[in-house]
Amino acid sequence: MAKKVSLIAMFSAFAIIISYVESFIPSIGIPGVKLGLANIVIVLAIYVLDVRYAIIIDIVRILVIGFLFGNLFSIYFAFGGAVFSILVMFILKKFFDFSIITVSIFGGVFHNVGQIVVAMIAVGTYNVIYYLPVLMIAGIICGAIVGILARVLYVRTSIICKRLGV
Amino acid sequence: MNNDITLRKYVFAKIKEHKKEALSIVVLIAISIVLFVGIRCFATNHGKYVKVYVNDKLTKTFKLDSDIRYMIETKKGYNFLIIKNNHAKIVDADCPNKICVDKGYISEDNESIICVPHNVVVTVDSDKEASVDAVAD
Repeated sequence: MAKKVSLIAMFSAFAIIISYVESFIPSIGIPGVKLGLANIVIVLAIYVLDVRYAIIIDIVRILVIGFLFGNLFSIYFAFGGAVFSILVMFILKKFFDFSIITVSIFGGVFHNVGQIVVAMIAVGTYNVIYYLPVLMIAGIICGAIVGILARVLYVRTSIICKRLGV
Repeated sequence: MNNDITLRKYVFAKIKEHKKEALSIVVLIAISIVLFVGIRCFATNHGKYVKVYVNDKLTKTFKLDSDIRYMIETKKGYNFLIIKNNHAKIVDADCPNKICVDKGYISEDNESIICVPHNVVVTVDSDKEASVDAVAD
């Protein structure tokens, strides 16, 4: 039990720091487009640990970053994106056995799709769907970057985590 | 060691190994491109008014959203303007080159059909007042 808690804590801390550093990178014009580097940790957790760990790590990361640096809406959007993203990534990994980079690309795309869905519900207008194509393309690119970085980490940490007997 | 696998062969072999994945990514990219083009075509904003300027003076303002057949008559000739389906088009004119007729339809803000010999400008605008372009002095 202590092992699980400390693993979750380590991964969460990692994700939080990445999010924090990423917030210093200036954002491009389009709202909602960001690198999402924290997803490196989430994708890694899905492969090296278990989906349940990934979910908890994501929840911790969203809440901490949301309360420290964001607002209620940012938490909404982050959860919306995370739900779609982790769900799709889990399905792709478990039933299709895709590799890390592909799963990450899909995760990135569906993260943005989820955010658009949340935006439609929260703001109540369908106009946000005009952003969908751009966000999808951004999701593919950022997902690929995150995937490559996650793979680099996976290659180096999967053995260690297997030995920990997670 | 004689390793004669080139980079290209390596990449192709890798893609063949993960056929389903590569295909799914291609499909994903295709879908986003289709959405991109589709939503862009859908989302273009039609203008609101069609303005007719003769000799740089605003003579007529119509709503783009109407069904109008209007003969623009100038001292130098005529241009037959039709407004239909949120489009404006000059379908006939007696100018020598008929460039205004060939232009086709306009529907977006600041698009215009110009007939130089008759000094006629038909333009789409979202502003009710005459635009700056019309003031010649």
